[in-house]
Amino acid sequence: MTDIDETLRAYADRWTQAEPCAPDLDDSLARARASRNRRIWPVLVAVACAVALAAGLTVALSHHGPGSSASDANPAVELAKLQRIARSAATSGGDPYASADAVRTTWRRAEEVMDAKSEPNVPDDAIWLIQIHGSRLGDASWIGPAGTGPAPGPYLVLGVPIGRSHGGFEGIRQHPVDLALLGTVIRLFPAGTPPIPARLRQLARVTARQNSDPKAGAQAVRTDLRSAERVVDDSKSGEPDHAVWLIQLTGRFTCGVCKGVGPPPKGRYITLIVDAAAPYRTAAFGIGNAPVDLASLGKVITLLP
Amino acid sequence: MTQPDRTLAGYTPDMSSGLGTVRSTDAFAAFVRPHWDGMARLAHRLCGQDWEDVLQDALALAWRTRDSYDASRGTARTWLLTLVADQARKSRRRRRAAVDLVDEPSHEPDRDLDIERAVRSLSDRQRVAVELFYFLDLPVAEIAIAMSCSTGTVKSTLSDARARLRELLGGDR
Repeated sequence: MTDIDETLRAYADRWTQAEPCAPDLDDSLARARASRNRRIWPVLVAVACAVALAAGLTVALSHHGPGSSASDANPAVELAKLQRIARSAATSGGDPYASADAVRTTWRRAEEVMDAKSEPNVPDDAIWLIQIHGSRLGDASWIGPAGTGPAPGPYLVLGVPIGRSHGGFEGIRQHPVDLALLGTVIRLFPAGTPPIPARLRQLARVTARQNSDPKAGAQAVRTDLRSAERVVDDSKSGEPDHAVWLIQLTGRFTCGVCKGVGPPPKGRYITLIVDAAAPYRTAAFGIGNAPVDLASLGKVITLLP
Repeated sequence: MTQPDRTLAGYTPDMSSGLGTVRSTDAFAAFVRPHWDGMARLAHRLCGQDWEDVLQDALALAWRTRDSYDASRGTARTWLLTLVADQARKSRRRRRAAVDLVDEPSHEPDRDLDIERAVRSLSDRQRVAVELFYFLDLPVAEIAIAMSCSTGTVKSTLSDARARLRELLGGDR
């Protein structure tokens, strides 16, 4: 019995490490609530419009311009969708701390304000123009050879067609687009509110289990590779600097992943340096008895209590 | 008697009326959040490609039926995972005839693929028991509540599943 039991546990551990992140709960809940309210939507829409009008949001959310469809008639669904798109773009762009705003407009109007030009036969459809404001956006999402991609910048602009699932655009900008020129601006989310990637918790949980203390606690701080290396052991990996999470587990560990002659190392602290963008590659692993001062690098988040 | 659910952190559930005052979105989100990763993991394990739809359906069902949650009959985690398992079963029935693609594991692909296929070939009940026990780390007592059976039945189901897997994976395991 033990053989197959161990096989399954080992496979579960490996599978958990490769597991994709859970979707954002708040977005999913907004959609769940919206689906529940579909039947009473005709009644609620009047109330929602009145409330949104007072908040100055209705103009953008209820305006039905070219390309509108039934799918975007529900503001809750539309807002949740935009938040999800912006979250995903900010995270894959390398800065989950970024803020995001959106405005409803058309291709032509967006092009005018952005001083951009597309093909002349592109229809003037309605779009959502999303502007994400963060740090070195685009740096982490470029998948071509190093140095060949667009220069990272503080603004990432997305055009999301309304009523179509394809044909959008995305671009890095060094200067902001004045969204207010296009209509009522909607704040999708403020700066400094990153969703903690579910992958980090899984990683901490699996690491604790693999190293003999499944009840270990874990904390993390988002920083850059150089700073993380400096506080951990003052080493330099030679990798280009990029955003990382520094995770510290606290418990009584015996290294379960170390190979070599002699007994495996033991310690009260495990540190992991993990890339801040998917697929959250582990760049460094360490075990020892000296804690790292995570607070010196920024806001500390508890992953495992 | 099950202990009051500690995952509600600071919120005292009204045991006599399901989720009691957990009616607002924020309170419901706080109720679900500690178990959200586990729900996603189970959905992904049971459904492969459709897992996000199944997870969304389970969350919508939890929101609609939140008044029916009874803390005296099991923890929030058990209730939420049961909803995911139910939605996964419905989803699998809908697409039974479709090709069941296996996600390529990142380590030891051949061996992992064999294990994955073997696990997927188990009966529905054996598979749910295996997923909850090995991939969600649920104790047998909680699995029993989720599967509406006794702990002894869970143990025998797991034992049968292991025997079946041993048979499928050959004598070297």
